[in-house]
Amino acid sequence: MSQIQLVTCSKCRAAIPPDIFNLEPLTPCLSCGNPIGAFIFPALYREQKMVSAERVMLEGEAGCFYHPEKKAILPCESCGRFLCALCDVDLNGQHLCPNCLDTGKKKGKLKSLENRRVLYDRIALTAAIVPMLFIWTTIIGAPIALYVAIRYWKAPGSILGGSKIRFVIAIILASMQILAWLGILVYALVK
Amino acid sequence: MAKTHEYKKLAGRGTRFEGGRFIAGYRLRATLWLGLDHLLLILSTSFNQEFKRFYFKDIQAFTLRQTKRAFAWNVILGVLAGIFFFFTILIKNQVAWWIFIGVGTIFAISLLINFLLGPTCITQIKTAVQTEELSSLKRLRTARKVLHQLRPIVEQAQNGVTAPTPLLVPSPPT
Repeated sequence: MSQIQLVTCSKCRAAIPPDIFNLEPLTPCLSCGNPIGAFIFPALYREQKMVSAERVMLEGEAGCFYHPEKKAILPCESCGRFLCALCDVDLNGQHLCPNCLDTGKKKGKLKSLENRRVLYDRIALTAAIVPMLFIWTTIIGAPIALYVAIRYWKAPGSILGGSKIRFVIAIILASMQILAWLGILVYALVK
Repeated sequence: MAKTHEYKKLAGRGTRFEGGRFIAGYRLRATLWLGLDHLLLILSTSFNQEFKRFYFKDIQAFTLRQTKRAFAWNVILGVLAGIFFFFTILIKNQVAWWIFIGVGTIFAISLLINFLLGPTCITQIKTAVQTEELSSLKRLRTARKVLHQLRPIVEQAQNGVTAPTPLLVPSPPT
């Protein structure tokens, strides 16, 4: 039996009645009076299917790697282990076992599970530019910028894509600053 | 509309505060992007990005709620502009007069911009497991524009799932 999920007002959490679904002018919430609108889609009425794994009935039937008494229905597409209906994780059409899912997430191999990225190119560029405001701080900032740019050159950047231009600029600026400091040092030593 | 690889930027930009609003908290900039089969909400600081994907087949509803934030700012900016302009009548010193006029003008321009941007709202996206605020859709006009763009895409992606009620309900007669 399908269970319709409630759509609620974001202010008072009262259920929004279906007769105001998909109405273009906002309608006052029956509970708090705030103008609200709800635009629903067929997924709201989708039946939530209960998943259960069958027991192995016949000798010779493949059993799940994690639940040997349960009937295997397909193999993991990553490691090949047989999986029952409970262990099968459907990730956008790819069937994985819980272990491979966890490993894939930790190692960053499953792009669709990735939810965070550090923008090393911006860190390098900031470390190269900001210390220039105070001049003396470039003696610390320049090596940091250079290190970050080289160390994380291959790290994935913004999820929206982009070039390595920030890294390149950071390397150029940091190198110039380091050369300038070396020049000052040599001049001081010679003098 | 900006396009980067497989993502198209949707209108709107907003901020979200994580942690405390003023103390020990930080501000995230929110933007919304349209992917091939999902919506991408990016919350970013200067040096990192956090993102949340909402697959079209999983989206159950968008909800909009108009808020009074724009009205409150109109009142605040209007009062501030009024105070500064009022004091220009009383001030005799020319330098101070120009300062007050300048500050008052800034508030007046801010008021005009806020008024022209229109009312504010809170937009949420609902799936089976979560309800997430779309922090980039803070103005009602922008939210309506984006939702008008998204609704046919989501409906097309969910084609085949039976809905017991018609999707489009005509507005009630006034």
